[in-house]
Amino acid sequence: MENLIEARGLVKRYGDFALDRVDLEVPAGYVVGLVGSNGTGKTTIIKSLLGLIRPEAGEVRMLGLPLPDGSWRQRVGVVFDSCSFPNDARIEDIVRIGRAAYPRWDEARFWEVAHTSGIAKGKIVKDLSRGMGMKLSLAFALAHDPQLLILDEPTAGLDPLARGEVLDQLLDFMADGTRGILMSTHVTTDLERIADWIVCVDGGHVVFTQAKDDICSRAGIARCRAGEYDVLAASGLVPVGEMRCIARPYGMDVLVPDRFALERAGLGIVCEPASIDAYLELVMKGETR
Amino acid sequence: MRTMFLSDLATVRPAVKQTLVTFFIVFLILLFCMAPEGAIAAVVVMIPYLFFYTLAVGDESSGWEKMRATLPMSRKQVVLGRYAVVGSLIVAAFVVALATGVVVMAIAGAIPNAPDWLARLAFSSERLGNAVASGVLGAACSLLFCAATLPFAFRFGITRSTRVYPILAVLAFVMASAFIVDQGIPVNLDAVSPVLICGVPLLGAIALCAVSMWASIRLYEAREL
Repeated sequence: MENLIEARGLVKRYGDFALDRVDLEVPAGYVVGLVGSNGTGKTTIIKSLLGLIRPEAGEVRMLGLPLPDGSWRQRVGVVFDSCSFPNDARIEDIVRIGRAAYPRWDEARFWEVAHTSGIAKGKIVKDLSRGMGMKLSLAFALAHDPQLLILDEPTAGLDPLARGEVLDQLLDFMADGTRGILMSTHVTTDLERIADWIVCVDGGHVVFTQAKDDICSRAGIARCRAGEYDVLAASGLVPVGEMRCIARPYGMDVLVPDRFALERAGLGIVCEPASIDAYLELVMKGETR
Repeated sequence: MRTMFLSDLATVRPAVKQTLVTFFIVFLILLFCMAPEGAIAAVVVMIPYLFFYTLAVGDESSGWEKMRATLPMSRKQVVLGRYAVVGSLIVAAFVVALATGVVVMAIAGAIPNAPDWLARLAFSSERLGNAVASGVLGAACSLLFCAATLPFAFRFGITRSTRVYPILAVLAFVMASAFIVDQGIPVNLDAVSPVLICGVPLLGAIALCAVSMWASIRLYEAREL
């Protein structure tokens, strides 16, 4: 399987913050979600992949090409967390820039996506709402037939309907199975809908890389009341020393890697499917026992 | 480079109408204060200066500079494109200023029994030569300004660079003034061909721009966005 993004041992220091030997892969046909608290290094990773900053160590290959090559940019679309075009430019100016920049620019595709998003000719960038600006950014990113999309908070600030439209476009983009998306976001429900893998970053290093289905379909949150925690600990369903727990008013929440196994064990402990948010909370803030 | 040219044109286009209005008002005011030649030189310096800031601010607004860096365009092409745009603006300012000056001179000469303040603006071949020379010297000043300031803008961005520009301008003015007061102008300008008086500064400014371009490319390639 070809890796559209391959990063090994990325190191980047800013004052008292450092990316610490970060490894990251985005295989063709997969959507990788990048999550983590503010200031943990997600944007630093993306900037390193795009060549906007220079890592002090590590290697990056984009579409199989070394980062300095630069020719990979023709097949990569980028969307940042706000509409990043010149404020006084018209939509037609953006089209001209795209046509000049990308050999594979498809103007009909741009206008197809733009019209679907309600972006009309003659509009000026600064007059677009936040949602329209993000849709413009996505239309620009999609119009040159990229093989890879890199999205940094693409749905931040969008209303639920607009977010749904953006996610639909991303799913359409992935339909042929040869493309890939790296998406950094705080809106984990978006990732629950479209992601295949979740990479969690904290303090500049990767805490875990997990298949989304392992989190949302297989893992569970056991709501342990008094006494049930000890029963769960003794069951062996969670490896010793790896139980992630958070104390609650009613008892203890415990991260269970396989809730189906817990159900088969017949311990009578309430266990709910894990969301990405709940999984992150237990992994990042949970006490390890 | 074409991508950079188009994106810069998109940035400056909204400012063109307002700048032209400003230009005409300033030009007319200057005409009353000095000869058309001086007015031409002044606006050839002023207009590119205004657009230079529009372009530099446009880079930093809304994150366009960061987005532009993700396009299939090298940092070298960005720098070359910016210098090409600024050079084109200087040429355009020269053409517009000279054309306006010639029109004013022609109108002044065509009005019979014109008052003295208008008659002094009348067209003559010598006046036309002086107007062209003034425009060329103004263009040389604009090029010198760009040569001095663009590397800073590429290295630090316009917001931080504006703290440096006034220092550069004051230093240049003080040093030039001190030299002239102390040494005088070391050349007898009356004995020198006007072509040389205009050509040497222009060629010197172009050469400095080439050095400036080289420095800007090195600085911008090393910059983190």
